[in-house]
Formats: sequence, C-alpha cells, structure tokens
Amino acid sequence: MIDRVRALRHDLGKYVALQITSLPPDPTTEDLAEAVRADVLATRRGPDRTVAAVELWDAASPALRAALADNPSFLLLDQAMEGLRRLGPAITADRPDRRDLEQAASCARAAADAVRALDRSVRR
Amino acid sequence: MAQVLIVDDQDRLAELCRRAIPEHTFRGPARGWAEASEELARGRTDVVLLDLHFDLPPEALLGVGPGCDLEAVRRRQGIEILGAIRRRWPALPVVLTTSREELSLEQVDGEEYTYFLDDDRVDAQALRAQLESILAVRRGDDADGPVYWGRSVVMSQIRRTLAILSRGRLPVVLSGPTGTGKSLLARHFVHAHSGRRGRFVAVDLSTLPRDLGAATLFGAVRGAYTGSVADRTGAFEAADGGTLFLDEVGNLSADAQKLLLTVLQEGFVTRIGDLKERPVDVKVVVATNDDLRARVADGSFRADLYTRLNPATAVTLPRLVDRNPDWARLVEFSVERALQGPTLRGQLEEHAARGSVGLRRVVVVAGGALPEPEPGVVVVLFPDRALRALSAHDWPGNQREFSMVVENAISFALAELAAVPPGERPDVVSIRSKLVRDLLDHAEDAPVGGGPRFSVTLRPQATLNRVATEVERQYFVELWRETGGDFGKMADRLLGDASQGRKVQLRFNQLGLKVRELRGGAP
Repeated sequence: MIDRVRALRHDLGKYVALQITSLPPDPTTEDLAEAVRADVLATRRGPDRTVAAVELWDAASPALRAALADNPSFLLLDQAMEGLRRLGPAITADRPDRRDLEQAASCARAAADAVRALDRSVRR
Repeated sequence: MAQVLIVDDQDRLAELCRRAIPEHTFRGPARGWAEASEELARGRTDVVLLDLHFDLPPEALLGVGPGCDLEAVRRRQGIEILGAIRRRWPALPVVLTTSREELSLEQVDGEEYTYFLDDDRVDAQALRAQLESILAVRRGDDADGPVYWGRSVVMSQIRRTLAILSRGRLPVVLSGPTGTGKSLLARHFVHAHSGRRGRFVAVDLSTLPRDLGAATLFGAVRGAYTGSVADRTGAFEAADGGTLFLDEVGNLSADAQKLLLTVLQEGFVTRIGDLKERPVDVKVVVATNDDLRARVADGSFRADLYTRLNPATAVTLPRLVDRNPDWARLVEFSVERALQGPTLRGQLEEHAARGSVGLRRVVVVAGGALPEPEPGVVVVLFPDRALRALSAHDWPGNQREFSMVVENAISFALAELAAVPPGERPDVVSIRSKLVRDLLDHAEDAPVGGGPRFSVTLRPQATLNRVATEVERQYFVELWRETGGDFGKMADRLLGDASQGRKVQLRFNQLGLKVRELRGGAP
C-alpha cells in the first residue's frame, strides 16, 4: 500500500500541475490552455508513450479504493480526478472556455496536494 | 550560464526548465545511467537534475540482480544512478527532483552535494532559486572576489592553511612563481580574513631604491637623510591595525632587515632619525620569488629575521598548469573579472549599441554550444578551438598572464567586430582561435620566465642551420614529452591543425629523433 501510494505521488503528484504551477499570475488563455493540456493530458511523457492523469489514476485507484475509502485525502484526490475526467472534453476543444481551463487547473493543483497528503497519512 | 544535465526518463521537466529558466543551458534528458555517464564525461556539467523513477527496460537499469523486483528497481533507479555518479564525480552537485520526505527511509550518497526539492511539486521559480543558490555556493567554492581557487586539492589545502594563518598574529610568507597571485591573496584573502579593521598597505620592495626602503617602511624625521624635508609616516604606521604586504622581501637592505626584525620582535616602530618608539599592531605578509633559505645560507638574508617570518608555515603557490584548472570555468571567471573594468565594459556596451542589442547581461560561453538570442543578452563566446589553445599553453606567467590574454582577446575581438559582418549575430562576440594563438605567441616572447629553455653550445664552425636545427630538435623533444608523444597534439601546437600529425612525425624523424629512445629516456 505504501509503495503504491508513493508511486502515485511521484507519477501523478509531481507532474499533474508541473506547468500550471509555473504560470505567471495572470496567464493568457492560450498559455493556460497549453499548460493545462500538457499537465492533464500528457502527464507522463517520454520518448515512447504519453499517459494522461486520468489513465494514471484509473490504473492505480482500484487497488487503493477498498483500503482507503474513508481516508479524507483519498476522497479529495478522487474528487479532483473526477473533475479532471469531466473537464477532459472541454479542455481539448478548439476554443476552450477560460472558466473550464481555470477549473481544470484548480483540480490539477488539488490533485497534486491531495496525493502528497495521502502519502503522508498512509506512512503515518 | 551554467551547464545543467537533466537525467530523467520523461521529457516534461527538461521542457519546463528550458522554457522557464533560459539563463542556463539544460542538456538531456539523459535516459538512464548509460546516457548520463556519457554526457558527464563529454564536457563540463555544473549541476545534475536527477529523477527518481525510471521506466526503463531491465537491460538499461542499474542494480538489477537475479530474482529482484524490477518495479522496485525502477522506482529507486535515481538512487542507483546517484551512487554511480558519486563514485566518479564525488563533489558534483546533484538535485534529486523529489522531496526528502519521499525518500525518508533511503540513504543517499554524498549528502554534502546532494539536494532535494523543498516539495516534490516542481515549481520553475523555486527550482531556479535552488539552482542559483547551488551555483552561488559553487562559485564561492572556487573564487573569492578576484582570487580564483579552482577545485584542485592543492589549492583547497592552501586555502584552508591561509584561512588559519590569516587570523593569527604571526607573519605569513607567500612564495611561488610570478603571476600566481601572491599580492591578490594578501589583499583579498589574508587581509579580508584577518578580522582587522585597519588598512591594507602594500610595498613592492623590488621597485624601491634600496636606500629608501627603510624610510618607506618605518618612516623618517625631517633631515634624517639627504632630501628629507619633512617628517614622513612609514608603511608600518599606515597599516597599524591592518595588514602590511611586503612584496619581494628578499630585496630589503641589511639595515632594513634589522629594523624589520625589531618591529616584529618588539611591536613598535622607530622612524629613521627619531628616538620615539611608536607601538604598531600590524599583520605582516611577505612574498618572495627567492629561496630565502638559500639566501640565509649565502649570508644575504638575516637568519634571525628568516626565523621570525614564520617560515615553517610558508605557503608556496603552484604554477597555473600544475593546478589542473577547469579551463572553461577559468575563462568565465577571467572574462567576468575583465568586464568589471570600465574600459572593456565600455567597449562592449559600444559594440552592443552598434548591433542594436540593449546590454543588460553578459553570458560567457567557453567551449559550449551557442545559446539562442535573448533580448538584452550579449554572449562572449570562446569556441572549442580557442579553449583548446588556452588549455594547451604552458602559462609561464601563470594566472596574471591568463587574465591578460583573456582581456586582450575580448578587446581585439571587439575591435575586429567594429562593424558587424553581414550574417553574423550582433549579440555574439566570438573569440577566434587564431586570435588566441596569436596572443599566446606574443606571450611566449615576453620575458616572464618559467617556460622551457633550450641551450646550444656554440662551436667555432657551427653554422646557423646547425644551431637552428639543434634548437628545433630540443623543442620537438619538449613538445613530445608535453603531449605524451601524441603527434596530432604536437601538430595542433605547431601548426594549429591536429590533422597534420603525419607531417610533424616526418620532421621528427628528419631531426634524428627516435620514439624508442625518448621512451627509454635515452638522449
């Protein structure tokens, strides 16, 4: 369990808000869209494959859900990831709505924070 | 501009760094140890950014053994790579791009030079701040104001010794060849670390008439000597509470040696022609090219003064080439120092204005890739060939000569670029290797001493050709030894073209030189 959460913290938590966190305070819609798409849709990207945040979550969460269903951080993470799943089509649109992008950025930050809190609580 | 190597199986961190921290060069990502070790061996790297988890096939992983859990090895591959880096580059700063918290149970190698992110949520601003702080420590490690220490073991030891000696009351003796930075060290290190609030006063005894040495050091009252029309304060009094640096102390006259001994023993100074004793508290630093012990033996330097100068802790500065310097870093350091002078800085500003480049920052690239243009940034570029020419020179004038060649190179390059040639980037001041070689040729003509010397015994019927051939022969032997018998390197030194090794070897043979004999040490 500890190892699985640690892996999720590294793979998801480190990259899901990587570019979003580095944006200037009031980014243009284009910059925001680029950062959100990179972080949420290409969360892990290497020479051979690209994995979206939701795919990472879907691969890891079934094994964690039963044991952590009551963990507040897990619930927050679940909520943030569902938000990203819901906003997926909106952020890939040709002309994405700025509010959708801001919501997605907010979910990504919440997911990054929640997975770190989850890791700490599991270790305790 | 620092060289940062990213070791990561993912692309995103490298992309973020290049976009958000353009002032440094980010290489990679190297995907695993094999690529990382190749990159590290290839050239200068100031910092490594190292990921923890590497999703690589088993054959590309370190630490794979029979029956091991591959997923666990992948998850801690960064720690394995860190261990491998530490075995070859123990003092290279490495930032593990994860938080210490994530690795709370792991031991990491080389803690002193290993850093973690404050938080594993990577933020470009925080990463930039962390890089700057690591680089500042590293710069602090190899430089103190105008003093370049480098990272050689011998200079680290000298630095530690001088830091201790600076705080004590006893004199400090600095010796070593010309240009090794004795006066710089006295002013910017010994005095700076002495904790003394008084002045730093330097007296070069090689330029003072010997009969004026005593009055300059100890002062004099009016009428004490011919032409002494007023009371005069000496260097000891001027340096009271501070540091007095006596360069070329071996030039002191016998009388002045005796007076110096008295000041060191008694702690007071008496002006020439006066009876009044004036207490002084001065840290004395002396420098010499002479072998003072030999001077004591031949009777030209007082034995009691020699003993009082604390010779047991004398610090001998090595030749520049014996310090095994990081040439690229030394170039950067020297350019930065040179551009602090108003003349060269002014020339550079004029050049930037001609090319319509507002000068906000100067980036020095020595032996690396030319960065993309950036508004307000002027690049001073020493290409690989120029850097190789600098590193192949034997620098008989040591660091002083090096600084002068670098400063001259920039100055001449700027003059050559008076009009930016069509097609050239106006933001780049490129130092051609030929210019460097020309400057080095001139430098070799200068009487700085310390370089190879050839001797020819003139016989009654020796022709000019015979004398020239003998000198050429000795020069070839010297070069052969310096280059480890590499004819390509010899050709590079002699002709500026390493591909002409065959031609050099032919001439080597014509001169009657035989590799077998040179290897065997026979003449």
